[in-house]
Amino acid sequence: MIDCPHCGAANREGSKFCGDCGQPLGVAGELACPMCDTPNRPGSTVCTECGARLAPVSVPLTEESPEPLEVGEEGLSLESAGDEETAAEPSEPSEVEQPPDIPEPLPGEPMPPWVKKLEGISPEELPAEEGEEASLAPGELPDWLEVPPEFEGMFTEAAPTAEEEIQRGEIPSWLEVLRPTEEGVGEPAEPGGPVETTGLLKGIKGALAVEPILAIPRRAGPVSPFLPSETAIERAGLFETILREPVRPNAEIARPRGRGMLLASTIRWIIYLIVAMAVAVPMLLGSNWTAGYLRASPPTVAFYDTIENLAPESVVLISHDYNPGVAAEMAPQVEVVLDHLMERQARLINVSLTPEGPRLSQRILDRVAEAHGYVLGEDYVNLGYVVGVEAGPRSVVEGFVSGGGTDFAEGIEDIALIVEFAGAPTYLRLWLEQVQGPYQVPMVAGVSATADPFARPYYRNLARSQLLGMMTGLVGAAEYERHSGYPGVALASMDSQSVVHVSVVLLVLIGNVAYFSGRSKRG
Amino acid sequence: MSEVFAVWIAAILTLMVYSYLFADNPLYRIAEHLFVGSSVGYAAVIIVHTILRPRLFEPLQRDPASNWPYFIPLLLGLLLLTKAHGSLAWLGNTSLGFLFGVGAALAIGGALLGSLLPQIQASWVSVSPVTAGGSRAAVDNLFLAVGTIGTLAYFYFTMGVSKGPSRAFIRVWAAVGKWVMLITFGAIFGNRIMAYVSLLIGRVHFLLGDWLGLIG
Repeated sequence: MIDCPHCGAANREGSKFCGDCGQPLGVAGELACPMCDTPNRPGSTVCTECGARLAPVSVPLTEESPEPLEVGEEGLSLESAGDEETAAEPSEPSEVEQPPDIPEPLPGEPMPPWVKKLEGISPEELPAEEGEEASLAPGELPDWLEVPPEFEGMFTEAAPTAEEEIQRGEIPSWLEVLRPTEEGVGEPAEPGGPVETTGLLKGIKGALAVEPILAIPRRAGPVSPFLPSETAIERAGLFETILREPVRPNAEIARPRGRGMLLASTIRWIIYLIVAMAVAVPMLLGSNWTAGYLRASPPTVAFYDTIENLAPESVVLISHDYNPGVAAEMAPQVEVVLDHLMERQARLINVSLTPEGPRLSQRILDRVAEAHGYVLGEDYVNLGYVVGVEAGPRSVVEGFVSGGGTDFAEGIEDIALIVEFAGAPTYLRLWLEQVQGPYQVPMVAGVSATADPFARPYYRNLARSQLLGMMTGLVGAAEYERHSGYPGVALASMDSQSVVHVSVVLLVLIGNVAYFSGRSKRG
Repeated sequence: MSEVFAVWIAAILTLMVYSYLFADNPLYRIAEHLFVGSSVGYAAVIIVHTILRPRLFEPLQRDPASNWPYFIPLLLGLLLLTKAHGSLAWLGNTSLGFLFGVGAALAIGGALLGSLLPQIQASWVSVSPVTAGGSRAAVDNLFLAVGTIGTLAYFYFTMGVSKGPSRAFIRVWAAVGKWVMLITFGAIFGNRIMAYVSLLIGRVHFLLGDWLGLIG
């Protein structure tokens, strides 16, 4: 392998020029014969191959760029172009385009063989150089190169100068401002800029519009001081105090020690006792004084009227969607509504979306059915637990069509009313969204007191009548009993309910008075 | 005899739960664990005896040829069990995808037709006594409209920081909406108190009546 002395690239054996940089390969400082390219050792004056002189006409192989030709008085000579300034300056075309003259031999010096070959040959006998126009006689051009007569005028007209050719072209404005003028370089209209001093764009102004500010490192501006408000400082201080406070077990926080603990415990037990007495005493006394004052609310009356207006033998779908946690509220509702429905001789289909619902409802069903002479399977059925969440109510109403469960109804159109007992608003929404809305079946609902705020908008919907009636919690059941004239356990519990509510209100007031009075004493 | 035994167990468990009034104690924990365990066991028994056996196993046992579609839910259900095994859990993805797909489709469609659109329609009310059916209904509708607009304005968070009459307008309505929501939360809290009192009444009624026989 031969390493290039200029760029260091590896070239195969026998290579004469570098494959990377194109420079001739050889030892740095060798002299190449201009006639036969034979490398000669440094300092040689005559080529060892052909005898040509090397000193005045040879170029060292270490030069990176060809040396411009200079014609001196003594003849043509190629000199080193080591000076960068000289290399950067373009030479006059007249200097480089002149044909080299044959050097005259020095007196007393033998003439080289290649010079002797040129002697005795006239210039006319020399072969024409490449690019020289060859004059051809008319008719010697091939047909495809012959100019038709109608286009000969185009070639006889004076050829436009280079400047005119440029002016005729459509030169964009940005390039027009760069057109060199006689004085030098055209001034850019806008924006200005620094004049290039080196390189190919030397003398052109604004060619590379570099933002000067980029070269200057920016200095960060002054930062306005942050002044937090007093409230923010106070909150931050409180937060810091909480963070720095050592962690204490919950039992230590919940249980004040000594006298404070005794006082807190005593107050708590007094409250428990008051609530327990408020519930138990009216029950034990058997009082029923609220029954005379209780009036059924419009939703409960609407519930009652909907059932009252049912035709005999109407098929009613009842869903018992509650669990033991709210059974104390829902069971009185179920009992009074079942009683009313059986009085209206309705045929009842009972289902439940909770696993506990069938068991909780079955006991009430059996008790009320026995009182009204209803027979299981003939007058009422209990289809039990329905799985599937959203798909559950749909499967119930569409199961009638496929003959599943009961022969009370062949389709949802046979259902006169849906009665929903919802311990949570989720179950109510399932029936409203999956059955009542798509099938437009009349529907009433008894809900727990917790679910009441979420169910009331459906009853309040006067435009669509989503819920025709609604009753809420134990109070709703009591209202229904009062309105129907059949007092039951709900109405009997209203004394306890009322006394507890009054007790809770009084306790809240006493607690607030004690709190604010203690706060004013502490200042 | 069994009825009396059940009443005694229920009464004792009720008292064990109320022992939490003193503090967290083992009696309360026992009752709590019994409740959770018995609830899960009861649900499992209900599902097996009222769902799987009568609606899946018996049809397949009675006439497998004509009831072959029941094999599809059976297979999907069995694939769900693979979710308990780490390397085979991917087999249950089909069943879960089916469940989620059907559930989402029903939930979205139902919410649209059963809640969203009817409630939007319900908020379009008249505040005129003539068309609303009386002055009381008109005032009721006016409160409904003001509460709805105010609550919506309270959750209008994209006002920007610019000051102007529009921002002040929204802020006033947002203040109205805040108070409407506070009153609503108070009503929800009051209903919850009423529900808990009803549950307490039910338990006391059981203890004094069914257990002790003090109430006729």
